[in-house]
Amino acid sequence: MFMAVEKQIETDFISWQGFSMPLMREWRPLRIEGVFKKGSITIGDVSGPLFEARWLRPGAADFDGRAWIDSNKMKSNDKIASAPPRPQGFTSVGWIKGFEEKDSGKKTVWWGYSVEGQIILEIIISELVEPAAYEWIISNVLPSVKVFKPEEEWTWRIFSAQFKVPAGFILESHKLNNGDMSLCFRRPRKERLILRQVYPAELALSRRALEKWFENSPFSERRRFSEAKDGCRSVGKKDFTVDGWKLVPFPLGFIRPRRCSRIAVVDDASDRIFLTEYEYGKRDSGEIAQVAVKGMRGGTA
Amino acid sequence: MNLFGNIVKSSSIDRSAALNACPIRTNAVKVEEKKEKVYVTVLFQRPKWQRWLGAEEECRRSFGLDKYGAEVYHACDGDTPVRKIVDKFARNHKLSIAEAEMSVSTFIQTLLIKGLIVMEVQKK
Repeated sequence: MFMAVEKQIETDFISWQGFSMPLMREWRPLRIEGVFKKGSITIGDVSGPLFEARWLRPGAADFDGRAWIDSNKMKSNDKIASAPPRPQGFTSVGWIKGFEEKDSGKKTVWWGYSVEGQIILEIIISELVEPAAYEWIISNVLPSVKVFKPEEEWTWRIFSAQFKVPAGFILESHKLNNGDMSLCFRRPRKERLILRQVYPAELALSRRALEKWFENSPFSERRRFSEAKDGCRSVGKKDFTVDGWKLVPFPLGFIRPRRCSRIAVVDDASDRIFLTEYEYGKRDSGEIAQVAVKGMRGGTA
Repeated sequence: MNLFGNIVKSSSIDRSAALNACPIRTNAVKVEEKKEKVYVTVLFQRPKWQRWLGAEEECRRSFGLDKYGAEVYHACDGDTPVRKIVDKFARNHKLSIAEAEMSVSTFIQTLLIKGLIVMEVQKK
């Protein structure tokens, strides 16, 4: 696969939990674990895993990233290497090469701490992978890692589905199925945002009408959607919008109802259905749902 | 393991060989397009127990393929490896390679089971 180095290499990227990195087009995430504060994602190709990216959010305002990286490097004193890749936005970086753990072969481990992203990244590359792939990771992936600041909009991209999420929303759960990708976010003040892409749209719509796609939510919940009598409802061939409430089941529906805005759009360019469901408080507006749909249009492979 | 407790080795190929294999359409009795679907009719040999019960040796089976299935079916020309079919499918439908690979390989398995294609695999 990597013999013809002269051929132009096609790339894609992955963006998850506040950081993004370029990947070769044939690479894909093999395993995703963890939550906002801590987790890992393993990237590989058809032959197996290539590298693993772990993230950690220290939380403390006075966290010393430099000292943390140095203490990790000291665990393997003789393997400390010079000139680690330093992507933009990272204040402290470091790496070790030829690090060997019991029964797992030699590895290169790179650490980076970003103050603006409030994140520590640890990228572990097996030195058993093909040399061309190893070199590509070192020279293209590591220097191009990007972090998103907490106060800015985050891009989420997994496989061919891309989403843009306003600042402050934290991923609560996800369902990543072939042709049906869903992410559920929460923000303090009881805001909940579900973003979903279903594709190919032509096939999906032949099985179920556009507005019916909200009836089977990928995330289970007790509250039920009730359409608002004075709300907006618009049904078109390629779009659907409805406002309503998310209510606790009868007879407790009067307890803390939440406003809910649902938008579904068929994007012909990408042959996808974009669905957004946004729950919010009485004092907020449902604009975020429309912004989220626009954010999905810019993505796909 | 068979009836007598002996381990029977089944022939299998690794993933790389499977992706480099070239699927070929079997000879179809009839291929027709109706209402945006492609209907492929092949001859099917009945299992022995059905023939013992008096059924005819051969019968016809028709399969309807939607737009995506027809695209993969028509790509099985005996010269194009699965890897290239996956790549073309991914580009046509703006998918990642991983998504296209899963969909195409599952569908090719179905076509194999139904007898619409056979696979030519390079031996190492």
